[in-house]
Amino acid sequence: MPNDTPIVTVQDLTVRYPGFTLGPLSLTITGGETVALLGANAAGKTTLLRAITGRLRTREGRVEVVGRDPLKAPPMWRARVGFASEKPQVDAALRVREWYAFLADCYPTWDSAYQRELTERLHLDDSERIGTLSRGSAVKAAYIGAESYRPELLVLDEPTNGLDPVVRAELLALLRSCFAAAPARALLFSSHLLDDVEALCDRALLLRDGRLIDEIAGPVLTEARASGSLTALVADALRGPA
Amino acid sequence: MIDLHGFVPCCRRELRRSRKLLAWVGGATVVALLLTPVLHGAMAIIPAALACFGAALLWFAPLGHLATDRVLGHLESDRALPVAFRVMAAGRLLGASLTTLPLMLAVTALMLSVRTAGASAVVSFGVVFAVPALLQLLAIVALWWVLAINSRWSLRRLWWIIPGFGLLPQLVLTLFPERLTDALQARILDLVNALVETAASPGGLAMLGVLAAALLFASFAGAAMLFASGIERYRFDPTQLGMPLARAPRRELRAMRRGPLLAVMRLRLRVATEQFRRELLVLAVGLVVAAVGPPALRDVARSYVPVLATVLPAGIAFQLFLGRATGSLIGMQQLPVSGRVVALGHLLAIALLALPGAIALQLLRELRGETFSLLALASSWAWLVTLAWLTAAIGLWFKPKYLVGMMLAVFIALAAGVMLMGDDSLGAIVRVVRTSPRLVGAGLPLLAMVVSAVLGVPLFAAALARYTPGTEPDQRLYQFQNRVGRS
Repeated sequence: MPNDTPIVTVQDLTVRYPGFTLGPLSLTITGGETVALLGANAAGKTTLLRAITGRLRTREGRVEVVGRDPLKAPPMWRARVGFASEKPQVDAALRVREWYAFLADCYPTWDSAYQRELTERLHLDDSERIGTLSRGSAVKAAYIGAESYRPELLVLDEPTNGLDPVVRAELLALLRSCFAAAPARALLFSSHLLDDVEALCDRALLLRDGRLIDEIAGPVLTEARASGSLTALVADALRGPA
Repeated sequence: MIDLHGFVPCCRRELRRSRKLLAWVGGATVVALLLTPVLHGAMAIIPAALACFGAALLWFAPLGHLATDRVLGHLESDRALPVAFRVMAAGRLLGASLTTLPLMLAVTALMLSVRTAGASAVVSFGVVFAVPALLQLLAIVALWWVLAINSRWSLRRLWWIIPGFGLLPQLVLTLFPERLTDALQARILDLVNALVETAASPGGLAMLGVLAAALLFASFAGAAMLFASGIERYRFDPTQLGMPLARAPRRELRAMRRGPLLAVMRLRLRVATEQFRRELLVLAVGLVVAAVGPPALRDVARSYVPVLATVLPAGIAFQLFLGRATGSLIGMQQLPVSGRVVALGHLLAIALLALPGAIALQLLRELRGETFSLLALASSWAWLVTLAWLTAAIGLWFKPKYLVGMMLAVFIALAAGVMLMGDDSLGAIVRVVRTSPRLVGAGLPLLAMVVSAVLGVPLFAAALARYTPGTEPDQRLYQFQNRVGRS
């Protein structure tokens, strides 16, 4: 269940690119929440996630994640935030388990037993090279690499995009079980897929043309789930006024 | 009728990709050209020589773009365009040629700075205009063929260019009997004399001009066809991101729990052992050939072993450049570890990888009759570490816009030297560099290594911290494909 401890606080965040501006936008994510970021292509989802995890160096506004500004936080702060995208960000020549061994040496909170458990549950062959992983295996490997040190904030950039239904169901089930009883942790993920929202999240933030246009949470989300009207609700919001 | 659809966009894209470097180097070259008549003696040579260095970098820019296209699979996307492969190749080659044009201006500036005052008008014209033009043409033709060969035969690494151009003719010549070599040289001399005689008359000059233009066109057409066949045969392999995967080493990395410094070092060594397994083998073979091989091959092996010795530790820099291009460097940036620790891990890996090279260089010295000395070994090792580390740190930090600043700093340093010591200061510096290793033993290289480490570690850490994986190459490709698709 969500509590009141803020994990992410964003105020008036603005990121400017030639031809595109994200924000200004504000949001808060508290411990125990699983939050989905929904939006069309080029809505600014990845940019927002990169700003929150400190991967984006140029931005305006206030961003605070587990108590620190990502751009000013000491290196050890990065062990409190996990980020996974479509593939592990490391040399392609390494085997998956070699990469995990490397991470185990770098992250003080790395839990090797937990990593083995996740590897088994997701049926990942960790003797494969990073470069030869299929798309589904690469997503699993990246997720395990980000989850095995149990960060307070786990950020996933389109974790289920392009996965086959079996792998997708495995990953969603695992995410549900990992975050169901973790009141001190939060999950933020971006997605195009409303099924992910239905399956996983407490709250959905809707992003269009770089702006947060709406938020679906609480009774509205529960009712939309129950009545099967979530798709129409989100589609209407993302489409905007006629 | 040849359908030239797509030619101009392909040419323009090649130019646009180098536009920042082209703007900076072009600007610096024009400044050098303007400064040359104003300055005198050694002072005039400095800006011209620096401009030549910058222009030489431009020659490599199209090769870098081709390498990126191969690594990221953009060549495969290009193949889907409604443009003939030969037209696409010709457009790229022309764009690449135009990119290198500041070279002619830079060499002109250099020629202006070194020409003698009393020379005749014809000689002055030849030195100031004909030599730069000829060099420019040679550089362009060489670039066409290097690009075409790299497109066709997947030579991802460009290490073969220098040994190939430098050593292959030497090897071929040494394999011929001396009588044949002399005869060949005599025939070449005859040919040159005949050309000079023909060029003396206006008609002959025109004929030579036509012949040269025909040769140039044939060379362009040949290179374009080879380049096009490379585009046609290219297959993107996501498992080979810039580095062919050899058989994985049996000994895997395992967690040691001895901290991130050693973890980073071990990771780099682990990738390097796979990356340079073939080079290590060639190094060993080269040493054997240098010791007991036939005389014709011995000299070649003795020239090639130092190249390989340098390449081994510099491979760490290659890993970093690849990480920067593919975005995987962000993994290093986001470790919960200070950037300086990551930098030191890389430095340690370089220091270890420099050892086999230093030993090979020492063995080579022994083959030349010099006695073994630990100081000489330490000296070679320290130079290799310094070179590889500076390549890694500066390469990670470098952006094209820094080039002019760096050239300006070198210019100021050299100009200050000339002002303090007179025109002979450049020669004095060269003499000091040449003799100092003997004067101070391993002291100078060890000092250079320590200084490069002290300066390079924060530079590396700062560059790693500001690294942002760009999607620029992909975005540029997308825009280009839209444009060509519409036109």
